Amino acid sequence: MHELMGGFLRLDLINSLQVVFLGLVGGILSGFIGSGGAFFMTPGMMNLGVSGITSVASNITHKFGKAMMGSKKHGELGNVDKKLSMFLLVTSFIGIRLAVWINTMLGQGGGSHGEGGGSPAGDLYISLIFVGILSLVSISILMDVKKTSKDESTGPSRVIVDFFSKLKLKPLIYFPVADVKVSLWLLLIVGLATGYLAGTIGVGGFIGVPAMIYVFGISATVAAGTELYLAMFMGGWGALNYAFEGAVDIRLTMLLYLGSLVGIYIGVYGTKVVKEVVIRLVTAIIIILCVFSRAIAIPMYLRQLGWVDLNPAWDVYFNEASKILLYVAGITGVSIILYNIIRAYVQQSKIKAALSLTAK
Amino acid sequence: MQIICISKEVFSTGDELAKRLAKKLGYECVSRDALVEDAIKVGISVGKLEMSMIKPNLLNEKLILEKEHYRAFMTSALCEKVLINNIVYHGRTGHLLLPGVAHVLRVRIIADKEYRINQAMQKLNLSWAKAKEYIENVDEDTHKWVKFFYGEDWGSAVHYDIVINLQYMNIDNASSALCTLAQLPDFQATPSSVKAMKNILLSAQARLLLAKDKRTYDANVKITADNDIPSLTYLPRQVQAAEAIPEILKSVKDCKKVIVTPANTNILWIQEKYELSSEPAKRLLEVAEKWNSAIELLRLLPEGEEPAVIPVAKSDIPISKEYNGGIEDDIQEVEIKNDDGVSDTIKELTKIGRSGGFHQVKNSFQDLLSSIDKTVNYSLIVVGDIFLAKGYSARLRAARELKNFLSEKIKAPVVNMDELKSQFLFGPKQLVRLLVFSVCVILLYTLVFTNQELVLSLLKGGTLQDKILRAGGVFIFSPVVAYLYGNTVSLILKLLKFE
Repeated sequence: MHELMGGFLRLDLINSLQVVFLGLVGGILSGFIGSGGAFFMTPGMMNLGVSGITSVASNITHKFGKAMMGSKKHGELGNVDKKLSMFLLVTSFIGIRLAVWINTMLGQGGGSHGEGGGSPAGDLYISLIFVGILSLVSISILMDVKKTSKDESTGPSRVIVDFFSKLKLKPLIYFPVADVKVSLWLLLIVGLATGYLAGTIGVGGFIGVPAMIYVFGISATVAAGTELYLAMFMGGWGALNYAFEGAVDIRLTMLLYLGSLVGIYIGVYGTKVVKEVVIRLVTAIIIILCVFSRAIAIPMYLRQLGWVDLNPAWDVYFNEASKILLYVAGITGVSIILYNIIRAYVQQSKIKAALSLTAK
Repeated sequence: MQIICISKEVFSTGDELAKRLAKKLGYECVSRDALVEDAIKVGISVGKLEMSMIKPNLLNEKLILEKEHYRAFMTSALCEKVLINNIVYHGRTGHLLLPGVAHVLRVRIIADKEYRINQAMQKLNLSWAKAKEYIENVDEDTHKWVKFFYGEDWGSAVHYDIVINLQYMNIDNASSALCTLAQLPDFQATPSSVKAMKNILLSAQARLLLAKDKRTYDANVKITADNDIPSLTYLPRQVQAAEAIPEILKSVKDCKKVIVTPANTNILWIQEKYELSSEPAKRLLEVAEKWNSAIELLRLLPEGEEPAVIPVAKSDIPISKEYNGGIEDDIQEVEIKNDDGVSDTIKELTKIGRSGGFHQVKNSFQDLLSSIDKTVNYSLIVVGDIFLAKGYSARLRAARELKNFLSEKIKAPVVNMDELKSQFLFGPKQLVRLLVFSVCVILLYTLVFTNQELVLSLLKGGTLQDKILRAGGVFIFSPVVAYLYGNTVSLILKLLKFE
């Protein structure tokens, strides 16, 4: 049982350090994978006893500041299509608002499950969306890795993309930085989906980036830069909405910053020394472990809702198992990244030493 | 050695114009289609590359390498032809295959859309609507192709010496006009333009040889060449492939030696005179050291000066990956009284494993821009002292103007030499900033975590006015914390030389 302060979790040193650790791992993964990190931090906070809605709200508020710092760098490198962001933004705001409304409605059941002031219905809803979406994402990444390792040069099915390109749904809008023409209707749908997922589980980028690459046909670097720029606005809008509803725990946001803004540098460095296919494989493995971790907690919420008959004493086991699995996911991923960074550093030091010896 | 590159739209009859022009001038007419056939024969998947323009998700790491191989093949094939013959080339992007070669006559042929549709209807036996769709699709794919391969806008007039609309001029008159234009001194080969072409040929040949060898097939290398010396940079994770490079490049004709540098990124250093012992240059080296970057020199030549041939002696490049091909002693080196520090700088950079190659251009901003490979992801472009013959203020202004010009055209951070310290290195100013930011961060965290109950009471419940104030407060507070703490972390990492 976790102690509460007016519906928020009471933070002691151990709890606080765990949130910083979640931020650090999330930041490393975010820098390494180039997308979010929320898929680790949100369930991690839920395992600590923070309600689902507060986890999402605090994380999206943290994402706001983080994206603001990151999009500046991407902007300097010319990877941001601001016009595309603005079109996506309109409906993403509606998506976020919808997500906040659903989460708030479900969260009003509150406090009965002993998990930090949220409601089992709200936590179940967030967990189900989390498991569903991230399962799809990890499976598609694994299929991609399998194809690459088989040395095939064909990508995933083009049925949907070809379908839309043949339809040429007017009006078509030209985006000069991304150098593509996209139907306004597609923009609105992708914006809505990205906003909804960002608002619900904080991982809008997992839909936004692939949609930009595979549906709009823009390059991966511009997609990542544009998504980060968009995330800044979506994070800001999400923070405003959730704070209005009283769901943001600013202490958690601040603790996440402590870890994530350091971790992101380590993760970015990792991408320079690890092969692309390894990055994708590590990403898929971490996401799958996170999915399992969240799935383990689902029976606990079902029991709390009275939909299944389980011993309430087992809740603690479900929660601990979920927490351990999540930490295994994070620590495994971070270990692989750090191992490669250290190996590359040693290798480079040897080369430098050899060069300086020859120069003498 | 004259080359006329005709970039044509589909069904604009540009190919007929090219043939007519070649016949009039007595030049060889080379089409893109012929070169593409040769590329396919040597195993380059041109079809898959073309298809990836229509279906972007086909692009994978292998196909991106195939793009490099294709570009190297086309460049090499075109250069080899030009070095033995005068040619008229017609295709999409001949003019972009030879950046920095001044004597290329670059022609763009366009025609009225209706005219092109009619041509397509006749030749492909299509209806008007189908022919229109066909032309629009091919134009769009070509546009994407040029962007993908060269990072340039195909339609931009800045890439051409002349644009001819065949709607208003018949093919005979157009070819006569081009014959006259081709006689101008601007389009005749000069020693420096031939040298530039030989450098491009050497880079392309080296790239192709690496592509053919299974040890280096998938190596992500960047190659530049100058004075028969290719400079290659490779990613540290590809150290095994890099070890094989000198051996593989033994067979490149006229190659004096090979410089191989491990680097995570590339920095482009634009300057007129180089002196590595100067304070600004030391700062640049410090940045390169921190980022593990190779430094590529781009010398902006003073007005009226011809490109120098940089002398290279055997003892100049004593690095582990050196390859001398056993022929250096036979080379007649050109004695130059003053190369404005270039050879010494290259020598020093090579010694410390930071050389990323060298090239030089005349003093126009546009020529300089054309000579920069847009497909290379430079982590930084540094504009140093240029136009040294001018007064101090004029020089400063010129450097600032060049910086702004490049910032608009290239996707990389561009800085002046004097901005290096403030932006990328740690000095007294940064120490003060670090102290101020750290104090602010400590204050904010202390205030929040020693007054948790008060903070949480502000975050929950309340009237509509409270809710609005709370939302506004969080909206402002969160990015402020991120900004202060993010900058603190960034400065600490700068201090620790980890970026």
